[in-house]
Amino acid sequence: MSDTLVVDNLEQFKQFLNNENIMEIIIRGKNKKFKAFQKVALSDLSQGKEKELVEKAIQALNKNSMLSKKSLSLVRNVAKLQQLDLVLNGLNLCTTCAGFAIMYAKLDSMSAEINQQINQLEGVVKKGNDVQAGYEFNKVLADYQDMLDCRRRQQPYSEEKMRVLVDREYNVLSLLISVFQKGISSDCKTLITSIFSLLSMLTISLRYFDELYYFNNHKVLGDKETWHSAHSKWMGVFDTLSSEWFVEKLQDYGTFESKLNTIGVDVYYISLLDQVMELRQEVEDNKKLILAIGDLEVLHAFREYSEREVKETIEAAFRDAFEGIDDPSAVEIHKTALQQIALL
Amino acid sequence: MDYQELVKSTVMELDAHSFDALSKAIIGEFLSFSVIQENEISKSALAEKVCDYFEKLELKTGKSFEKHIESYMSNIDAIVGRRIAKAPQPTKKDATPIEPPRGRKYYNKALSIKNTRSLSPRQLTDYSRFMFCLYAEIINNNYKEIDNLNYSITCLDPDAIIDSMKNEPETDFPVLNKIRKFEIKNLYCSDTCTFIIALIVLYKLLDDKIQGEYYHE
Repeated sequence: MSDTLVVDNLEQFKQFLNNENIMEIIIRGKNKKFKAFQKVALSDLSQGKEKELVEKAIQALNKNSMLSKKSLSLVRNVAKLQQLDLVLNGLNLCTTCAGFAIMYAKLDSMSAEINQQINQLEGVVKKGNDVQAGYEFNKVLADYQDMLDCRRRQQPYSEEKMRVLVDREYNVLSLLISVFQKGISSDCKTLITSIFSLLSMLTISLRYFDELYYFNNHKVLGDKETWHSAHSKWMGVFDTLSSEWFVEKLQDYGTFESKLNTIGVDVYYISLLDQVMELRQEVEDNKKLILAIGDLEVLHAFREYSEREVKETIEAAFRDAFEGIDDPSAVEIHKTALQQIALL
Repeated sequence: MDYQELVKSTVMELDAHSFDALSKAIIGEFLSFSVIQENEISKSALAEKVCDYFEKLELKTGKSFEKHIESYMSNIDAIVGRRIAKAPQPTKKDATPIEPPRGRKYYNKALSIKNTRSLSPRQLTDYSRFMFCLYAEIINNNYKEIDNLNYSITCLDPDAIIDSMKNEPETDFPVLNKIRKFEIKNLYCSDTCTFIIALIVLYKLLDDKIQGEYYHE
């Protein structure tokens, strides 16, 4: 038996191949006896193909590697792009922030401008309200003056005309009170004066109307429905002008909008509320007088007499006060006062 | 304003009824006469007694009367100011300011008087009117925060106000509220002076009450 052959590659087996390129290998059993022949064929072709395939595979891999490199560079580029995108996004964000900052700055300045404009508008609206209230007040004042003038000419208003006048005075007074309540007037001083002047006019008109209504209708209506059905509504204005909110508004006006000290404020609002009570009392007293006298002619005679008494008393008081005073301004005041008394 | 000026325009100006009430409130508890009986105290005697007190107070404390007036106003502010509701703050800058509650407006008016230099007796009375009307409202509201006030002079009850001031805690914080705000055991100190000025001014305010012919508050 020859020595052991060390095989490095398949080429070394070629010497053992027969004519058919088959190599026969003896396989021994456990007892080292011959067990079987194993034919082995070496194929150069198949080996070449594999080699070729491997080479292709390597080439492909190389290509892939190239691709990978390209891909990597592409990925890098993409990464760079993404970074750029981030930068751009950041820039956008900065721009947006700057935009917002500018926008807010603008809004702030606009807000200040808007506030200023609102304040101006509020002022204009308040003045507008004053104009409207003034217009309504002057209209009703003209009607009231006309009513007084008609009475002076012995052509007094009819019951219906008086009712319309009272209702109009009531409505305008309610309007003025509403403007005062909502604080939508730029001239509270004039507004308060208008409210109390109109209240005084309403009181006089209501007194005249009550007379006419009673003497025209009491025979028909009897004792139960003595006064007009809107009478309590008209009288409601006295309740409004004595209410807590109205008192507070007067106190606030005196404290914050006038230069009065606390005693001045007390005198101011208490004298106005006193006036409200006094005028209400006048209407109530007049109603009692109408019911007590029961006749229009007697009532007028009684009123004329009492008015003459009042005039004479006031004139006498003025005469006493100005007696012996030669100062031209005092004489002028006395003259004006006498003219005003004559108008009573 | 010196103390003579204050006493002349308050104690000396009171009518008999208000003087009698002030005399009863102040003599005995705060000031006393050694010889004159309570029913013999005249207006000028009480005025002189009050002036003597302020003079001694200046000497003992080393502070001028003006400083004691400042302490009086600060003491009243300390028990009133913290219980007046504030105006809600607008959320945005430059937003239209929200109008403060009525009580806060009157309190601000009082503060504007407090910040005036060299007050006149009339200004001191005006300051006290606003503050005591607010304090009376606080008492009525069980010492909780108020947003309005009754401005009418009729809401001022000197006994109720003085009693309440005596019981005022140092703070509204529950654990520490057993300590009293005012220490009036010592006659010649700012706290006692606050009570004496408060009494004089309160009775002067009631004395100045305006009564309408038809309108009664």
